[in-house]
Amino acid sequence: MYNKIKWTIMTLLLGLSLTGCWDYIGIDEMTIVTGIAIDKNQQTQNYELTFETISLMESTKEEGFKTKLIEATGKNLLDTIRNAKKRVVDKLYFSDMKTIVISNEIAKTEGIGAIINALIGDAEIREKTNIIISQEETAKQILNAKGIDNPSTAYEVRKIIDNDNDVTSSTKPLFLYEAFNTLREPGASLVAPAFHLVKNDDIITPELNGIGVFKDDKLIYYIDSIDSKYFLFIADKVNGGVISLSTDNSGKDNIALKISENRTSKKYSYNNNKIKIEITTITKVDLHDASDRLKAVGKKEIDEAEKKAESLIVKNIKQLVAKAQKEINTDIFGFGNLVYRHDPLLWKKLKNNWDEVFMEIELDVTSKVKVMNTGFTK
Amino acid sequence: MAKDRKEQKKKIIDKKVSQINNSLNKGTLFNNLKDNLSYMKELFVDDDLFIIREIENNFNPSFRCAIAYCEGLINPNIINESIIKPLMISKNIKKDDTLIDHLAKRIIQLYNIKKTKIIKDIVESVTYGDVILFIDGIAEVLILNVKKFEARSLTEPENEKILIGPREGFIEFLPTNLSLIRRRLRTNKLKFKYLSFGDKTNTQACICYIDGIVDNKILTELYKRLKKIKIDGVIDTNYITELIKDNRFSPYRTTGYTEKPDVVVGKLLEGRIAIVLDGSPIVLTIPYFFVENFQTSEDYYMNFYYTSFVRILRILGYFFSITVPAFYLAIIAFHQELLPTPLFINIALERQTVPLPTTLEMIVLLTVFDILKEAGERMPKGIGQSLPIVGAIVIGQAAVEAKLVAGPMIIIVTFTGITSLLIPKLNAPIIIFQIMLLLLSTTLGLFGLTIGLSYIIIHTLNLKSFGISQINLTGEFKYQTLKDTIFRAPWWQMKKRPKQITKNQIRMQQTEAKQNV
Repeated sequence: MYNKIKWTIMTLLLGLSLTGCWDYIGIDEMTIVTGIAIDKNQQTQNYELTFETISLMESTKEEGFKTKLIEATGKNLLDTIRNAKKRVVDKLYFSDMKTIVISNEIAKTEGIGAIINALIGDAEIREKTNIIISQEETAKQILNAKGIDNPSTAYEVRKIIDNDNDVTSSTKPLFLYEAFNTLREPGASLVAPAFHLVKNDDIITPELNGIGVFKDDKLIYYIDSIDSKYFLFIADKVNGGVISLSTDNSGKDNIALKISENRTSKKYSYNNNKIKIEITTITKVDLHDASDRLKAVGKKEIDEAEKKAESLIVKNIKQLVAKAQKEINTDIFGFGNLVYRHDPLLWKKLKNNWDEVFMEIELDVTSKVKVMNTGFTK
Repeated sequence: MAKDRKEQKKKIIDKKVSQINNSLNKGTLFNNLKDNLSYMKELFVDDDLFIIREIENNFNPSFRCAIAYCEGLINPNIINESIIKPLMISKNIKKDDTLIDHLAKRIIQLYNIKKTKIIKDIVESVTYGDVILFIDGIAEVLILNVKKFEARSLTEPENEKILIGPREGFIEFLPTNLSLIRRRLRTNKLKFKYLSFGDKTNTQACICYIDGIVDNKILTELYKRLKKIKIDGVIDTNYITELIKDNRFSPYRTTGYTEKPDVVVGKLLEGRIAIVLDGSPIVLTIPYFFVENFQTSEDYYMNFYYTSFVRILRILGYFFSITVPAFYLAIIAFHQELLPTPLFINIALERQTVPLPTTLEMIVLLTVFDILKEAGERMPKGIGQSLPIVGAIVIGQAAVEAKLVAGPMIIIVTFTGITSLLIPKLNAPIIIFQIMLLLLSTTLGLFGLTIGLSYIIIHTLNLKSFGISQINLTGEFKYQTLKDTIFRAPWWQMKKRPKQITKNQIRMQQTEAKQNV
């Protein structure tokens, strides 16, 4: 009995020394951060951080929570975060933070690598925090704007991105861990959702506006939300969205196809110092909208719509790749990573002048569209 | 004078006590009726219930005898008609060597007569409603059974109410209880063995088992433990439970208990042993498996799909009631990142104005719940209406509105309280482990909870009842060993008795082929 008690006490004491840095924290004794906007003052070279936090004092059970913004400046990120504590009573708590907004300027001039490195090392910040780029002058403006549904703009932004893929397929979410991994992956390309501000019902509100593409960790180009769908086709990230096209010669888009499923496969071949990429997309769609409702949709019309959609996808993909080759001059699709994964030795040979190789890439796109359903009653 | 009398009285009492304690076992009777009677009077001095009545025969005046009994325990009509009357008017009473047998066989018209010479037997019988017949010139007495007790009628036990199935319950009178068992098991294999416990109370107990099914090893182990009991009184079966327990400090039960004869018969048929105690409606059954905590008699009387589901609910209820408060606390105080964001914000909002830290808040509320529960059980029925009002409105609603406690906390505490009511047989482990886990998780978070749960699991796996593991540890997962554990198999599949407690395992001769015809 005595021995038993002795061992029990010793086990419990071990628990105190082995359990890391947890401690009892009252749940109401922290400032819950929902999002950060990261800016940099060009004159002083200081970081200017804006934290969106939940204001427990102003919130009520009936009306839901309210948010407030806390600003801080500092020489580096950690310093700035600590500086913010000087203004608030309770410790800042980051585990429920959903969005990191990085300003256009930081992303373009100095790159986001340092920021991601600093944030991913923090114990509280989750790996699944979204990173977005602000197309406005500062990142703060995004958090300062008001979301339509959610009292927290950061949460609103997160939800817009989450649901985008199934409905419009115009952006590819970027999580903190993804950013970290992609930056270290040879030949891979970093893509982040871009947001700008629009006026909606007289209130300025953030809107998703395509994607920003990166070379290494520096932002180089924005793809708008129409082209970004075809970017996602290449990246095999399409889960929804609409393809509109015209089957008659009126020039009006009289047919809408709702994408229900898409699979893209990419292959490459290497011949005579030239890379050839083959992209094959297989898309299942529902025929959803036709201008002439009274006319029954028959096999002929469906076949026609399928053909048109196929050629539309092929055309747009080719255009986008050509744009990357001529205007952006960067492999934004991560074709280099495709080569690296299949043939690391070849990648080793090509990686030093991959940009030139990319310019010369030959593209072969095949598309297959299958109408599964016509979305109206006959 | 008064002082003298007091001293005298004290002396007599001392003498009596010493007589009862020391010489009662060895004491024997005298030949002479007068000596016997004065000896009895001395034994029962100051006991006005003890009555001696002397009788003489009308036709043979030399025959003198006396009956002694305790008032209130006997049936006076039978004494008048079957004992006093024949002794007075019988014509063929002769004083010779066979007189006592002659009386027992021919004169006294009673169904139950015993002979004895031992004072201890006399004292025990007369205090249990028997009449003692002393005969002049014979150093032996007859014990005549004319017991008549008042007892409660057979009602449905309050604690084991059921929807379907037998509703009879045991009462506080041993012979009735035994009859309830005997009536349901009409076989000569059913054995009853009388024992008595307590130096002062001399409480009668009866051990029941079915010969041929019961494991003799367990039976001898039980006798061995029962023999060790040296206590002045045994009033309820729980005295025995605690005195013969395997692991004395464990909050778990190692004996089963029930108030229903049908349950006892079911357990006897599985090879268990029942201990019935006079004066208590609770019957013990041993050995006891851990799953029996979650079984009720209704499980076997209702559809097996339904009862299996309910049994799983009970097991979950036990698990929830010990872990949920500790888990909630660990998450709220240590691992907030485990909470989904909307819930996290809601709880933070609720806790905003609560003055107490979460731990204290929980301990206070759990205590309040236990107070309400206890008050509900003990309260006189007349004022029963006020408790739910106080509990629900004052403590629940008003406390939240006054922001003394957070809303989620009330939900957690109420949930825990209700789940713990699912398994009344485990009330002791629930209260102990709940508090233990709560304290561990306030100091060490989920890590502490894990330590505590590991301890509970190890302790539970180590439980023994009469040398038999309460949980099957052989690692053998055959259908027949699992058929009555977390689910209840249909009756036609319960072909064998539990392997651990009986060697005669086959319960059902019927084969499945026959079943299907």
